[in-house]
Amino acid sequence: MRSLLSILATACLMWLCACGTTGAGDDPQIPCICGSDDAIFDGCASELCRDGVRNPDNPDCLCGPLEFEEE
Amino acid sequence: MNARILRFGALATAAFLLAGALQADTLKLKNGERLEGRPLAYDAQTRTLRFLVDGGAERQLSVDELDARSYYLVVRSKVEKDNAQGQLQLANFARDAGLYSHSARNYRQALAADPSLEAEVDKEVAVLRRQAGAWAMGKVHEALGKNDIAEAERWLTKIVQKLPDEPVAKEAAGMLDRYHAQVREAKDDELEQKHAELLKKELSGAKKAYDELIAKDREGLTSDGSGSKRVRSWEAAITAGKRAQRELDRFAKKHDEPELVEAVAGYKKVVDEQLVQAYMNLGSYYTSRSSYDDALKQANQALAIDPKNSQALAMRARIEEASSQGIGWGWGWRRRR
Repeated sequence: MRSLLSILATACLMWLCACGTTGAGDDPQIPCICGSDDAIFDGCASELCRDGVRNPDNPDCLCGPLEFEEE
Repeated sequence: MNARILRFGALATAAFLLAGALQADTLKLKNGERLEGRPLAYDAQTRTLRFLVDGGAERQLSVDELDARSYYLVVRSKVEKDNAQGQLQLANFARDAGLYSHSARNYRQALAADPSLEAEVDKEVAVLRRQAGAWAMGKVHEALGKNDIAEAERWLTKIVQKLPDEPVAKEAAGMLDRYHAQVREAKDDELEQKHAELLKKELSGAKKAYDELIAKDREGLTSDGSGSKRVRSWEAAITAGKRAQRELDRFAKKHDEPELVEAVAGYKKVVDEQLVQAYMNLGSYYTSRSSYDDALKQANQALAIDPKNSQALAMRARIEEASSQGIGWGWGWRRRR
């Protein structure tokens, strides 16, 4: 049972690292507004965007680069 | 039983890891098609992208097939931050594609990479300001077309705050003069009707201070006077707002009748919102002048009143970014000299 728990804990940790979503280190009080008119004019001040990371939960986010698998 | 649970755990782990690894990217094409998948490689010579679409099919795409946002995303991924000419070209593309804040960021990166580009960047940024101003004014007219005065006023305020030295800001200020009071009157109309007697008598001092807060805030936004005059207007607005708060607090301490408590709470909310706005307007002004310490003080004052105000939080984050790295969003990073 202990092994199962440690596997699940590891999986959860890796999931959070892999996603880098707003749930991870992002400040939910400053939402990602990429793609909106306000963001076009003001920019997006969400934590991910300030760090130059694209928000994977927002397909309109352009704040970070694409990662090319074969390069 | 334990073995079954373990197998389930292992499967769940695999699913978690697989989903994480396969986080899909989205590209949009000019023809409206939307592709979900993962980019494999980009050939700068042929300007071709190889993209593995979810489900297994690989697509070879010319970047000319991509819509402006996806094109920008692909190209920006290949231009290094220290490639000054690349950043400059990317900034020009983003600007002409209507990605104004991204464009401003790329201009800053071009300049950081090669300060000798200053004259060229200044020239291009002047075009950026003009285009962004015209676009924002389009938003104003769009809102007015829908009779949404509050939304029009919001965009007019943005123009005045972000592009204070542009001709469009003068036009916006003239329009704001008309709509600023209208929007605020609409906000407190109900309260004024419901508690007319109270506002005429016991709360007359608070009402007077609130009216001064509005008038001075509008003066700060619409004045075409010097910077110091505008700062004085906002400072006077803030002083008046604090006076209104004190008057309301004093009244609240003396009364516990439910109707009066409700009236004061409603009025306090309106005063607080307007005071937060005045702090943010002054903060934006300081940001546009690159006075980041002063700007930060205003953002913090706004947050002391309303700690969860997402606009004030975003403003503070932008100021801190600009202050610490010299690279922020906004438009205040380089004033026209």
